[in-house]
Order: sequence, then structure tokens, then C-alpha cells
Amino acid sequence: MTDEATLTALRHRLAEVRDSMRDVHMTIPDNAIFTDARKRRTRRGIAVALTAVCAAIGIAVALVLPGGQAPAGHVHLAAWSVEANSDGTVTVTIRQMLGNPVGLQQALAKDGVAAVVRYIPYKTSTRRHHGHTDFATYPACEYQGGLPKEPDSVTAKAISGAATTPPHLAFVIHTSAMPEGSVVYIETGFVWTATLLTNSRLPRCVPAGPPPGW
Amino acid sequence: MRVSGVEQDRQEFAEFYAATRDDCLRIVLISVGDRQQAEDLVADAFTKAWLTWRKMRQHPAPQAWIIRTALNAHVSWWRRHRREEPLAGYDETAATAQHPALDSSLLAGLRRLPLRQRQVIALRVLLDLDTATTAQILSMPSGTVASHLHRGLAALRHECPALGDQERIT
Repeated sequence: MTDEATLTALRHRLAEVRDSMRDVHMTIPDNAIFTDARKRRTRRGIAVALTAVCAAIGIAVALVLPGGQAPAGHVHLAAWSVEANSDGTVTVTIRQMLGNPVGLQQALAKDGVAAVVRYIPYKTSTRRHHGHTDFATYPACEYQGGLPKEPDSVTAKAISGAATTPPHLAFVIHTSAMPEGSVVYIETGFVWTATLLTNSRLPRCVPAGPPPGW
Repeated sequence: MRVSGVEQDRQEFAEFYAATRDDCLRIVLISVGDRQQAEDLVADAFTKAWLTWRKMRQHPAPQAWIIRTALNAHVSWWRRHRREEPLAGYDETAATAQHPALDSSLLAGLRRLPLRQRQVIALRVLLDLDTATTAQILSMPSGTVASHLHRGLAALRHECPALGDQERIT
């Protein structure tokens, strides 16, 4: 039996059912619909007003109370924290995968640290990538000879105490020991590392996060 | 006499309500099975339509929108109440709320269909809309409407073999 034949038969049967329901009528008058709608509108209005009042109170409290505004150099989030120390160093702690690497990059920039922060998940470094091993840093870039790192002796002076146990990375940046034009390169995801790169040789093709759809 | 915009809207909606409410109720009742619940769902859908009447009046098939909204609300209601234990005597009340015409294996099969298939059948068969309009109202491609209809009909053929017999007789 084809769909068309079933459709015709069904139409027939349901038309009979509908015909036999001629005595079924809506008992709710239109006035009841208007009244219900008015009540809903009022409730919605009250809810919107309450939300606005709560938001206004929240903003006022955040602005007025001491500590409501985080001082520059002290950012503590669930995923990471950045602390500017009195001796001019900056302590960075990363506790989770970075959903927003740019946020950490901007926080470091506020403390005078030029940094490039990347979240490169494992699958990004292994898929759709010709001629690279699993350890390729990013598929979109050619890192011939590896990342453009500063010499180890320079890096050791600029970045100390790097404790890496994924998903955890903690280290101290000595801004005064960073050579002119160098940047701190922080990567989480497949590799968890903090190292010092020569800015001029940093590949520009490294995006902040994984490409859309990964 | 000049009629204000709001009053005109009200009048227009009242006419729409009077013209379509019974049809909508019957179609939703076929899908839902419970008279009181069907009436509540349809009234709720009309209330939502009135709240956005300025937009709704432009709708290509406002009656179909009412039915779709009522059937969606029924699924939401079912999700909220599926874990509730019925009170003793509940079946008794439900039986009196049921219309005699609704007692058939075909309608029972129809009510067992997934929501999308039921919506497609309600719009295509009961409201007699074409595939393109059904697709527009349910916000899905025409091919998906055809596919839901095909699956729904296949399920109904399976549930109600009499559907095939009737076709052979007519």
C-alpha cells in the first residue's frame, strides 16, 4: 500500500471522527483569553522590573563596596589567576583548560607582560594535518625547527618555578629579565608549557583558539 | 464611529477565535485524547497568540500555529507530569472526559506517534495544508515533512491494518 493511498484512507477516517465530534465545542469564552493574557502581561512586567532592580542593585554593590572592582594585577578566576608581586614579578597559575586564552593574555598585558596564550586541544594537533606527527604544535602552521625559542639560559632567568602537571601549570615571570622583543608563550591543551619566544620570529598564523567546528 | 487600534485588534482576534476555536479543539483532541486537557491546551495557545497578535495576524496559517503550539505544550506538560503517580479513581475521571469517537485503535496509534510525526499528520491530514506550508509552520525543510509523514503513515499502517482494508474497499 502506498503512502498516497494510506493518506487518503487516513483522511477519510479522521474526517469521520471529526464529523462525529460536531458536539465538541470550546467552552472558554474569548473574554477569558483576554483576561488570562492581561494577567500574564502583568506577571511578565513584574518579573522584568524585578530583574532590572536586582541587576541595578548588583551593579551598585559591585561598584560601591571595597573589593568590588578587582585591582589591576590581581585576577583570580576558576581557570587561572595572575598576581603582580611587589618585587615586579608576576605569578601565573593555570588550573583548567583555557576556554578563553585571550582573557589571560590581556590580564598579563595589563601587568606589562607581552604574552601569547594558546589553547590547542589534542585533536587539533593530530587531525587534518599532512606530514605532521601527533606532536605538531598547530596544524595551520609550519614550525620548521620548532618554536622560535630564546636560549635556555635566558628563559631560565625570565621564567622560574614552572610546575607542570596537566591540567596544572604554575610559574613566575621576571619581567625585568625578559629581553627586548621577547614574549612569554603559554600553551595548554595537548601540551602544557610556558616558555620564552623571540617575538620577531613568532609565527603569525597561530590563532588564539581552535578553529571553528573542532 | 472610530474604533481604536487596540479595540480593532481585539475585535479581529475575537473573530479569529470564534471562527477557528472548535476546529482547533477537535484536532488537538484527536491528538491528545482528553477533552479537558485539549481545551486547556488550545486556550493557552490562543492566549499566546493574543499576546503577540500584531505579529500573529501576519502568519500564513494562524490556525496551524495554534495547533502546533498546543501540541508542543502537551509534550511539555507530559514531560513535567510523567513521573507523577495518578490518584486512585483517576482513570474514572479520565474515562468520562473522553469522547466516544476517540475510542479507536487508529487514534490510539496516532497518539503514540512522536510529536513531529503527529504535528505533520495534524497539519497535512486534518488541516489539509500542503507540504510547503506545513514545512514553513513547523520550521523544517519540505523533505523532512515528507519523511515524517512517511514514517507516521507506516507506523499507522502497522498499528491499524484496517486502514489498508478501508482503502481496498473504497
